[in-house]
Amino acid sequence: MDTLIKATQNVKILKESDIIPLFDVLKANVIRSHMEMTVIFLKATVADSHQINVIEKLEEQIAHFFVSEVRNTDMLFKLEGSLRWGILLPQNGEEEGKAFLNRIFQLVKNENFPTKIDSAFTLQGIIVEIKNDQVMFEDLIDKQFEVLSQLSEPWEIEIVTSYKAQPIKRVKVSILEENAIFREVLELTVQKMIVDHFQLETKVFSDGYEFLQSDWYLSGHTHIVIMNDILPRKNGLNVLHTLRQMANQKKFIIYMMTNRKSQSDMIYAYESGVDEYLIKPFDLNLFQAQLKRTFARL
Amino acid sequence: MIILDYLMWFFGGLIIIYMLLVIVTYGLMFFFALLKLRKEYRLDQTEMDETYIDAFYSKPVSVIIPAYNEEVGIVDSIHSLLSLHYPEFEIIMVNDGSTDRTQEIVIEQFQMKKIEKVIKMEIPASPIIQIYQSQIHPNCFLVEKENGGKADALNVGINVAKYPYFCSVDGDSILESTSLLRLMKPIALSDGEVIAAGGNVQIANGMNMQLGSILETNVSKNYLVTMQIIEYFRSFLIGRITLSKFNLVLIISGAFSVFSKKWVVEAGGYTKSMIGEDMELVVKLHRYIRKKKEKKRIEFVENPVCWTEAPETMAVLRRQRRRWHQGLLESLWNHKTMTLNPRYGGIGLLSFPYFWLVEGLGPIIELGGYIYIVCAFFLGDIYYEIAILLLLTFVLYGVVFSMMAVLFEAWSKNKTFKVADLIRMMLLSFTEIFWYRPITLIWRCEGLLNFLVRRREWGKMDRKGISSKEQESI
Amino acid sequence: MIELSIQLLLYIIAILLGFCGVAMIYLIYQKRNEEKKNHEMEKYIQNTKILWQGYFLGDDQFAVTLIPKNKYQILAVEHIFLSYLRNISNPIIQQKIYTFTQMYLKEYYQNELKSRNWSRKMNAMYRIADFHIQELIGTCEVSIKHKHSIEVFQLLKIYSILEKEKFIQEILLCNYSFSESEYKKLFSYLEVEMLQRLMEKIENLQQAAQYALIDTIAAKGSMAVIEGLEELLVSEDTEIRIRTLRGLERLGVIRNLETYIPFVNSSIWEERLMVAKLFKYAPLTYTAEHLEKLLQDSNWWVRSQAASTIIEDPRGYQRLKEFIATTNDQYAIDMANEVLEKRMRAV
Repeated sequence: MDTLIKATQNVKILKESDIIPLFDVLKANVIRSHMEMTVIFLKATVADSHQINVIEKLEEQIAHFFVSEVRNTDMLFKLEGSLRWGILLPQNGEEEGKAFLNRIFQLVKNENFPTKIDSAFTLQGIIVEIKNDQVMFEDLIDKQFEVLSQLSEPWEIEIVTSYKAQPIKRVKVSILEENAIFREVLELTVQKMIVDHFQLETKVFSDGYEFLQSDWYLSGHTHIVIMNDILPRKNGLNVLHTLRQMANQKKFIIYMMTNRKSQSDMIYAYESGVDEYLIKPFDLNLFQAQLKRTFARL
Repeated sequence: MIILDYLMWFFGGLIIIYMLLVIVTYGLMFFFALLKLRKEYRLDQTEMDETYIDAFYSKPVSVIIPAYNEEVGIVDSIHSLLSLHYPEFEIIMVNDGSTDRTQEIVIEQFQMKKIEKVIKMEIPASPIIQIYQSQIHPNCFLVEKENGGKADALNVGINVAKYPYFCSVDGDSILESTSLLRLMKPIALSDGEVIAAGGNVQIANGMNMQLGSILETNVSKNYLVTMQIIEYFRSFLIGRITLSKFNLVLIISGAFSVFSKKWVVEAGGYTKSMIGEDMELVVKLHRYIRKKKEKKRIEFVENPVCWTEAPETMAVLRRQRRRWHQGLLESLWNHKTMTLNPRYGGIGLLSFPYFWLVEGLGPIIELGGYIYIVCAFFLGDIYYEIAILLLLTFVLYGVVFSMMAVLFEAWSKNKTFKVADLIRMMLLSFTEIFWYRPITLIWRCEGLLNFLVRRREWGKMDRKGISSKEQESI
Repeated sequence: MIELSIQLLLYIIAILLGFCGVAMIYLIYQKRNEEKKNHEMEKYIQNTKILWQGYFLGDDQFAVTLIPKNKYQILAVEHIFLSYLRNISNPIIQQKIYTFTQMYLKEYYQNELKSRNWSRKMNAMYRIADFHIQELIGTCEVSIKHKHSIEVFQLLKIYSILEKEKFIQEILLCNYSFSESEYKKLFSYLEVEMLQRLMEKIENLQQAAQYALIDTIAAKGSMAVIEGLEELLVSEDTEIRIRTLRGLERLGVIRNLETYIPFVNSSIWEERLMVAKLFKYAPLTYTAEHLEKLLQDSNWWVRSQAASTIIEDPRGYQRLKEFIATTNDQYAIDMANEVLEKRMRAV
């Protein structure tokens, strides 16, 4: 236990009002950088209810213990009501929250405190993973009151999943391929994919010029472009270059298809911003798997 | 009077015998061409295309575009090259000291940046001023040099080229996406036995094209252009295919042909001072092949098509024909020792005599025939019959062959031709002997005269550009 | 005499013109047919594409409407199948296509093979290879002309796809001479084990086949072949040595640097070029001395390759700078400067 290095001096206990702006900033990042965050709520119960008068002292001691256990990127804050705290774990999910609570609980059960705590107590916890940027901090507070009041057993952990649902995101998929039959097969393959939280809009083009003449690629949506390297009028490299020169070029994820198998061309295309290469003929299952990975990263 | 009588009989007979000889030769060539076309009619060409699109099976090619004042067509031409179905190739545009905006347009359109490159001067040529490389297409280069003529520009291109084969393409030409692949097919399949191959050049005027892609095949409404289209069909059916079959090709069009770089370098590259630099190179290669006593071939391939712009006015066409004819005669004269020389095999014994008599001196005799007919009518009854006989040979030679060429072209391209175009061209074929044929004969005779007095003139063409104009927004 | 000739010519012209007229009418009629064919094909494709998608990509049952009823529909089916096969590699779809052609198109191809029209026969052979119609191999064997190299090539291609043992037998008989790229195509359908078996008998093959075999086996990218290739480095045939070096370079592994050192001093520039290229796969510390020698080579390509091999190493930049300072070979300096500059622009 002592082998863990802790940087306790950096962690302060924040007030509820202090945490709200931080929470809002992190929440916006949840969507932008695809990193969930988790809030843990803790309630301590003192076994011996006679010692009510020393509760303030105890509260300080327990808080001090928590401070020594959290990482310095985590934020500990005091909630209204006695012996209640919250911990915000940025860039962490439910699993990390669970592991953290289990560790704390284990320490308390074994009375293995790094600092001195006067009285024995039990803990209860709630883990809330947040992947949705619509949630308000007040909602969380209300939720934890409601859930904590329902908990009866000591050492109980409740996982709240109601904020885990991601908002549906619109993603555009463009397919640029000369062969009409294969073009439709690709379109169908993409359309058939069920990807949680994403709404796919597909459109097919038979050459580069047709694609670049449409205003379809100008919107701000994340846009997956699947194109052949050789295309009539404006070939694949030309389209690639045009897209990568755009101000918001990061929204494009570009798949290049080839049947030329020329290594130097592929290297160049990767260097100029192709994300994935598909060598024809390729397996549609593999293609779907690659697409799924792409969506997972979105 | 008796002398005149004898003269008329003598010339009449001579011309008729000549015409009959030509007709028989053409008929034979036509026949061989048809046999080949018929055999491969409806063969699935995409099979080969699919196989050789893989870099593993094909040989990389440097495409060289010599450009002098080509600002109208060059961008479309490069676009068509960029859309080629070919595994590995580079595009080298050589700006031969253009005085218009050719270079600026290309630099701007393809985002060219200056690069340093050590060039091995394998063929002596004018110095290079600067080499540019496209920021978008790494295989696309622009070479800037001082003006030195087309042959010199091509030689510079060959020096810059890094691949073992190079393809010359005119700055106003458009290739079909499979053209290069199909042109390289005989080379890839012969393990280097074929050292040069020429493609089928066709006239693009009137076609609906955009950014180097053909949207619709139309035949130009201009009679002069349509007539040239018929002429191209005919020369393709008569001549090219048969000569190629027997390795007798002396002309492959400079507008679209591939060569083995090694052989061209060893043969000394393009000759600067010649007008018909493409023919000259082929003759030089043939000569060199015999010198080295190797079994190599130069072929004409009929299915890869290159679309090029044809003159739309009499003045420009006149200049073109004059130059062509002068170039042909210069090359023949330059290598006159090959004529009937058994050391050069079929080239010396068949090709050279054919080109001297039929292509080179033919116009004089034929023009003589026209004059003869006119004279005969003035001289009265006794020559009518000879004149009619002569006229009939012209009809056979001009009208019938043209019509058959049009028909077979339509037959072999039955996917794209339009019935209305076919009928129009058939009707136009009838008129050929009355206007187009005599006019071009006169021009070719002018070329012959120019050859005799060694006059130089540079062929300038008023470029219209073959692509449908659409505003470029990107 | 003349009258007779005039008459004769008139007859000839009349006959030919008549022929042209008939031909024109025929062409116009044929154009109609062609349009009808395209229309029928397009109609079939539009009507069935959803069904095909369902059958190939989903678990949909095979629908009877898919069975082509006439030649146009067969052509459309060919087009659909080829579009799938050339773009998608999926054993299930492939199997479905093979089974379908086996069931419904076999007879059509059998008739086509017997056709006297060369193009139709060839097209049928192409499709037999594409759609793996094993049962028609016998018909192919009897219907081709064994002197015609294009036809024989297609038959061997079918063997190499469907009857590999027979292919090896046939190719070792050396009855044909194909070009290298044709041999490459034939070999590319074989697995590495098969190719290794051929490698053991490489000297029995025709020269072009030997070269093609080396290229193909190296392109398969299997490490198992390195040893076999290294044995060829002592071959008498220069071209074989060059090819082998190129193949080993493609594989990108140097097992023992000593094997390659002799080629630095080879009298054949292609060998020096290949070895300069191969040295990318060894640390510069071991190869620098040799590469600097190659940088001063008499051949432009060798110098160019040596320079780019050096610059690819992390320490290459420094090494080249030092080299420029110490040498007085102007060609080598030019080359070194070129790659240095290229590098500067890339960074």
